[in-house]
Amino acid sequence: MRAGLAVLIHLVPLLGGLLIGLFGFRLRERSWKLGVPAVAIAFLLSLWTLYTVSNDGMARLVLFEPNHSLPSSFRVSLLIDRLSAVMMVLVTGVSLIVHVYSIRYMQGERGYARFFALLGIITATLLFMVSSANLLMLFMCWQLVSWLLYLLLAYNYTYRPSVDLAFKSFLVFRLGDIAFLSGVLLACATYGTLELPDLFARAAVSTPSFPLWPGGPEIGAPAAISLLLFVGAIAKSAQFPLHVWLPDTMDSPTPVSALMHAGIVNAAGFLINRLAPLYGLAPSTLHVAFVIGGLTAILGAAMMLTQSDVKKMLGFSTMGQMGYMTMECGLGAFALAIFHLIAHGIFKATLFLYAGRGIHEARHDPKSPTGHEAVHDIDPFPRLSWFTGVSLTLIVPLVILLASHGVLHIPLQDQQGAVIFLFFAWVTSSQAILSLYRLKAVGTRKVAAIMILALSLVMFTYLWAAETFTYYLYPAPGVASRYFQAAAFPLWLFNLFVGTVAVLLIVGWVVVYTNARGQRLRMMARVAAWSPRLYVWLWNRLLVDDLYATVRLKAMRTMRRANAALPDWLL
Amino acid sequence: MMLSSVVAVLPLAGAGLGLLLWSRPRALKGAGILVTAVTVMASVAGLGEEGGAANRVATFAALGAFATMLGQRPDRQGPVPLTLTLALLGLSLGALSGQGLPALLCLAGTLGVVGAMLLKAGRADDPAPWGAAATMGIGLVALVASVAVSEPTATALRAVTCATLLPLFPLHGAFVGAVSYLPGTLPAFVAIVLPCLGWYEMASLDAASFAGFVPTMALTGALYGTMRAVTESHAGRAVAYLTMSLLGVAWWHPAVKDGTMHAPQGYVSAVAVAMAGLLLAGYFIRVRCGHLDLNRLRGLARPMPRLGALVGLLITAAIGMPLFGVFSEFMEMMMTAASRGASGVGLVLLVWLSVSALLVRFMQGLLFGQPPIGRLLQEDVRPQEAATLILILSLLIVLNVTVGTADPVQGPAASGAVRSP
Repeated sequence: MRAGLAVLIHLVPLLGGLLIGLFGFRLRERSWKLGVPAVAIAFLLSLWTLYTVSNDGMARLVLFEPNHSLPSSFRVSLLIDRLSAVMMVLVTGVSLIVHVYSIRYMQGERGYARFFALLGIITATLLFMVSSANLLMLFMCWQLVSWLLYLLLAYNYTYRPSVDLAFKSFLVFRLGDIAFLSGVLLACATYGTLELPDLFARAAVSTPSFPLWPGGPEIGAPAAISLLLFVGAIAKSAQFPLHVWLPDTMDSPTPVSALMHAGIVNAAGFLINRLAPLYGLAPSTLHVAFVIGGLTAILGAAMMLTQSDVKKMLGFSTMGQMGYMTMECGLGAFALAIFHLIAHGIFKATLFLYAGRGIHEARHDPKSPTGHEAVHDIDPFPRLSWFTGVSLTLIVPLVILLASHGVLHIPLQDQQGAVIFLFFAWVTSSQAILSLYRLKAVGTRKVAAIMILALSLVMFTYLWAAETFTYYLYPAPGVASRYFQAAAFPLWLFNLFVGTVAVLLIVGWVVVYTNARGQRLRMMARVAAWSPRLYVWLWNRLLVDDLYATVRLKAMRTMRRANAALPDWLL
Repeated sequence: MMLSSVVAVLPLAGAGLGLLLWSRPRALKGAGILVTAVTVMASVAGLGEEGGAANRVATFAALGAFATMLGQRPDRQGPVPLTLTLALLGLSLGALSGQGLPALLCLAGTLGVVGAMLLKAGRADDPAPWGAAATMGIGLVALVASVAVSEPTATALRAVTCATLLPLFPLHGAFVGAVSYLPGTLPAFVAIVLPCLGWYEMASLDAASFAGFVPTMALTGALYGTMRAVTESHAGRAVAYLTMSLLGVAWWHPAVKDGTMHAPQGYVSAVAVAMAGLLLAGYFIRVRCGHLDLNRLRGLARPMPRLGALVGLLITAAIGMPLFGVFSEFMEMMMTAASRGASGVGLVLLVWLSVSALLVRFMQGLLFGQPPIGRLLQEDVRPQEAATLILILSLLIVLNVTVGTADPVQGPAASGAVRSP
């Protein structure tokens, strides 16, 4: 019964998508009548599956058993556990919102039926991906998502820039797919299986290693496999240096952006969680993930500040958030990353769909959006907000640290998970509080109250919700803490991170204070001299896109020259 | 029971009938479809019996001929490709079903007919078909000479013939030329039949001594094909080079897997069928828009939505997406290669990446973008043409389902049909 329902979740949107694809030329603007109910049914069934999986445990379904002449890796099987159930709810939920929104948003478009067909098929593919019990099947869905996303991005296929940017995305996805496939092949060659439970069991008992090149340094199999799979993940999750596709995909219809930013870019977080036992055996990969994620988070946020287009800003914001999520994975907080991606997914889908509505309105009403009238009588230095901000971001954390260390004698270095949650709670709330400080049009008391509310909310989220969620996804005793231990950094390095963040916060508040007083710090003047250059660099996305374009152009030119040098009769 | 020789005679008789119906292309097409349909049924009936490899290849050849017959327009240029398709089908079935000298003569006939067509296609300002005909000539001479010399020279000479059929650098020119320059839907048929014949011949060779340098040639060829396709503006040639790249992997795989030359039949068939589908789609566009210059033609999806959807699906299959044969066969091949620690896996993946990127670029260049004003009223594919492409897609899905059922060693060597002229 449960197995049948789980299969239905996958098949209903697939069937809906295929039927629209086949009969779209007749259905046209009635296509949603097939697509929306299909996804709604899948969403309800996903909720039911989440409920049953939470109570009765996981289920494994074999849909196709290969014959004797095929490797057993060709088995098509589903693994319905808590992770896949949560992801199925997220995928179908976001897809349902996007479907419903698109009913009117896409009205009058030539490719209305095509759009709904692709939406249904990509939803089904994502569902198969999040519930696959086999690495080959996971890869199969992974690359199919790349292809379907390309087709959705090139939805407006008569508009050249949109098509070119879709192709750019496809190239990056394909690069990631190839790395992913290399990881799959290496896993198959090393452990002789691609069935996830068997693969994890074999990887846990045997960790062979091989040289990176003949006579070169050795690398462990789990590290090599997880690194290759991670490259696949960073391509889809727009992590530096494979982030170049994401900010350029804003020419696609808003519902596609919403689906992409709320669902598909979260692939890295899901993948690392799905393969957590493997990543748990590869601390070096987790450290790489932390560095890549950190870099992406900083660059995404910095580049976002230089944008003036609302959708592009949201694009870079997604990049930063994905970096944040990867960083969490890099610290072993796998479940936190899932929590983050769910929250981000819902949040970003709302923002994108609202942005689409705003842009629509602005096109029809030149006065829209309203609310940008000049605000008079603004206090240049809201003292209360400043003091509240400093207290909440610096003094409160310091008091917590001293109290836990000095009074309660909690050995924080042994509580890796708690420290990480606290660290993220601190950084997140500080970021929110600094943003709130910029609210000039609201009364300072209100701002201070919102700051306290933000801190409470973030603390609650990290210290209760995320903690609970961690033990929901990884209920077996010691599993979650083992991942934290695997990702543990040397204490000095962690202290350095904390120190750097603290210094940045102090400098930030000091700058805010001196600016408001009309004073200038001598050091800040030097930094200020650099800021236009930095702005231009960030505005130009650190010229990474140009670098890739140059490499591509040079390669093409070389090949063209080589071809021209060949005689005419030679084929 | 081996593939019946009668099956081979049927298309040859059809080709003879074609000469009689030369002035009536519509009737010729009808007769051709009938003949190939009967041939398909006869070869399907033989599937699962002894000599299964020959039957499988014959079935593919017959299905390929049926599809190309269906797609060919019965216009003034029609009789040449229609008659030649039947003749080549008969000859290749003869090569598959016969033994000894008759089989050899049929194979030589196949090479000779394609070579002659290439000679005819050459022009002073475009001598490439002559280069291709010369390469085909090398294959033909090697085949004939292999009868006169003793082992191991005979095997080496037969390997040369195989390399002209199933393209291997530097003897790929024959295949590329045939796929690029033959008239009508013939290139699509040739794209299926030549590699399948090459595979069948290759499976009969005990050529372990060549396995040392074959992977190098195969990978060089795969990279060369990709490099040539990058700058190619002629659609037929671009597809031919990309096919060559993908088929290079079929040479590499057995050599690195177990030091033999028993290429995976499923993979060869899947690639050949997918590319034949693209060539057929190219033909349908060519009859409407003239010469297919990839740098000029664009935006066809708007005026030809049915063609756009079908080409999109064909590209999906050709770039190795799931549910189509190329994906499953490629995966099976790569997994066996990787589990044996084969060298060159990275290069093969690079080739796969490049080929898929080029095919997608090819698709979006042709279908996407703003259509030129004059093309807005372009006629979409007719039902018969659409049926041809749907047949090709169905074949690719069948190949995906039957992955692993074709044992690569079930060539003539294994089935006791090693040629002994």
